[in-house]
Amino acid sequence: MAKIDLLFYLGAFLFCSGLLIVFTKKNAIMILLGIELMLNAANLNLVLFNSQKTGLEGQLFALFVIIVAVCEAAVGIAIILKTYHYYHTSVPDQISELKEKP
Amino acid sequence: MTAPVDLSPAFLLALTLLSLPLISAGVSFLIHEKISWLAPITSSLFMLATFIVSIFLFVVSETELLHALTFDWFTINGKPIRAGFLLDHQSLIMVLVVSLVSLLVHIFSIGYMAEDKNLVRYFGMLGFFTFAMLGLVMSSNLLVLFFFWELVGFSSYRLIGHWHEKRAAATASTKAFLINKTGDLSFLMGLMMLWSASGNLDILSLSQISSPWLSAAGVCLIIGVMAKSAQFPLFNWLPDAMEGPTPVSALIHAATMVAAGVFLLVRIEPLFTVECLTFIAIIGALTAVLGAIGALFQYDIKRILAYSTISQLGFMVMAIGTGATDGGFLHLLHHAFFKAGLFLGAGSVIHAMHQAQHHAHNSIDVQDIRNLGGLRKKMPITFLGFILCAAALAGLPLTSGFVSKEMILSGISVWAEFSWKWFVLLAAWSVTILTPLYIFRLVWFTFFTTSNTELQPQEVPVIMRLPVMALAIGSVTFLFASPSWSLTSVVGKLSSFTQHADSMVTLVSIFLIILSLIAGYFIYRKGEPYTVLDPQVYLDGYNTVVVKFTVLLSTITSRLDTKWIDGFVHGVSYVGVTLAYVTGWSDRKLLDGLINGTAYAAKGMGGLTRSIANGKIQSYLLWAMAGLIIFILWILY
Repeated sequence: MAKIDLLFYLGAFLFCSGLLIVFTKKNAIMILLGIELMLNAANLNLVLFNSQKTGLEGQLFALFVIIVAVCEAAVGIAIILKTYHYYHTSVPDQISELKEKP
Repeated sequence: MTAPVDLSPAFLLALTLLSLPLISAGVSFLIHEKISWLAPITSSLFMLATFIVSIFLFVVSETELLHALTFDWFTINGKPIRAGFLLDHQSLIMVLVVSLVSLLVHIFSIGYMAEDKNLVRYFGMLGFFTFAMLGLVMSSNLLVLFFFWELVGFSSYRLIGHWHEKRAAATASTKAFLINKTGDLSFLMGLMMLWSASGNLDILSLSQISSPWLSAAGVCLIIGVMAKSAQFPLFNWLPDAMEGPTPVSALIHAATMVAAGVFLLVRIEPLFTVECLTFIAIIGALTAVLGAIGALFQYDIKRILAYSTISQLGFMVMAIGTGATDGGFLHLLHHAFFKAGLFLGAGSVIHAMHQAQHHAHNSIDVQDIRNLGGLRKKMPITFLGFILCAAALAGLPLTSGFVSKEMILSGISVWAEFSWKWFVLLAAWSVTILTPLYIFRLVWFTFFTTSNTELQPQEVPVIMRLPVMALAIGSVTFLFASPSWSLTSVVGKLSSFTQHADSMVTLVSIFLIILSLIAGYFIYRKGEPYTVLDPQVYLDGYNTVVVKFTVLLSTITSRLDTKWIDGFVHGVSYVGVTLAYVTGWSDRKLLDGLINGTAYAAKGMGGLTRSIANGKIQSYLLWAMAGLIIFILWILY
């Protein structure tokens, strides 16, 4: 088994664990962390697939993704902070204003 | 909607005239119990004002010759009901008589009712009655007249039952009310017939109506008159009505209200067909004779006068039926005076005897003529007034009663040429003979024979003597009064007395009256007011039979009602209720079940689909991811 295959498995593992974190964690910050993990998995894949061929498009794209992820994290944390100020919680399940009251 | 009202002086005067007694009644009812002595004074003053206004109205209308002052009141089916005053000679004279008698009765009542507890109610109702009576007399429309007719009946009911603590008075007032209501019902039916026949109830235009319903309508109206004017067979209430205070009997049950029926007959006389007139004549003849016979055998001084009133009213009705309308109307006016005088005289006697009885602690019936006697010397002025009025009633020459009686007798003589109509003529002559007899009996036992009690009655106060004397003078002076102001001269304009005068009839009647008085003297000389048979038996006997029959009939119908009609109704309702239960059950269980089931199913489905959208972001993400995976799998394979 080539070394690079292990790295592919690592990407898949990262993505799956990120997805699992997004589905299971209660806190919005943890969900954001899950999303970051999934983005990292995507970056890993971009870099890995780029190494199979000539050219630097994949690595450049990975750089873009990192920058976008930074922005996304900043915006996401800002939203979470605002939500926390407003609702006094950062757990999405407890924010249920639009839900039909029993 | 209303046409502009003609505000002529006569209209305003008539309005004032109508409102004064009403104000009097209102003021009386407003007076507090503690100062109830004020009520007689205010009412009498108001009545004096009424009388003065009626004289003014009389004078004004004489010069202006006004007839109908009307305005559109309301409209039914495009046909207007015109309310207003009809001021012709008949109504003006009647207004004058009503207000004068009412005034005198008010004055008399001050003395008579002095010790009564309910002065306020008494004088209030007297004022209200006068208002209703004046309205009745002046109405230009039969419908409006009917309203006042009802009001008159109502106030009569209240006044008969003035002493409603007495059981007899309470029953008498109820009886009068019920019998009058029977007549009123018929009156209303007659009005409806007239309305449907012509759409017009104005009195002046009655003569233009021609319809096959005319006879039926006429008979219906006559039945109404029969109840109000106490004609056979609806006269039983009048003797019982004597339970009321005597001034009330004088005003309502002798002078005015019972005369309203006769007045109405005079008013609507153009309406009557020949059949109606014959009917009127026969009813009047029967009533006149029965009333006279009834008066001959009574002991109670007021009941004698009541039966006499019935008889005299019958006499007038008979006169109208035979076409001697002018004579009938004139007799109505004269009768108002002398009968009111007789009643007030009787009231004086009763009052004086009561006072004496009060001192002597005696408890005889002071209205029974067997207990009276010798009052001629003790109450000379009352005696004089009474005997003058009695002479007028008997129809002695030089009295007012004589004039009208001659007019009627000659009218009937002309009418009853031959055949069965002689029956009416015979009745008229019988009344002429019987009237002096019973009034002689009354006067003889009240004023002449020696009293068999130790009571010492005193003459009544001036305030009670005055009205009696006024009425007595009014009963005799019509012939002698200077023509410029006397009532007779006015009546002469609407009736030409000389035209009917029949010297033969006059001579015969004078002869008969004197003969009758002499016979009375010889019959009653021994001091025995004997009676052949109890008048209640034959006069009220038919009433008993009718009542028994009615009770039997109502028992049968009641049985029928409970057993068959109620049974049927109950059966139907049971079936209905059972049916309702069955449908209710099926509705609840079947129909509602179906609908509820659908609703439950829809709700379940909704809940199922809704459960995905549970408001949790992560589950949305999960589902989205699942959808994505399914989509990818579907694309790949």
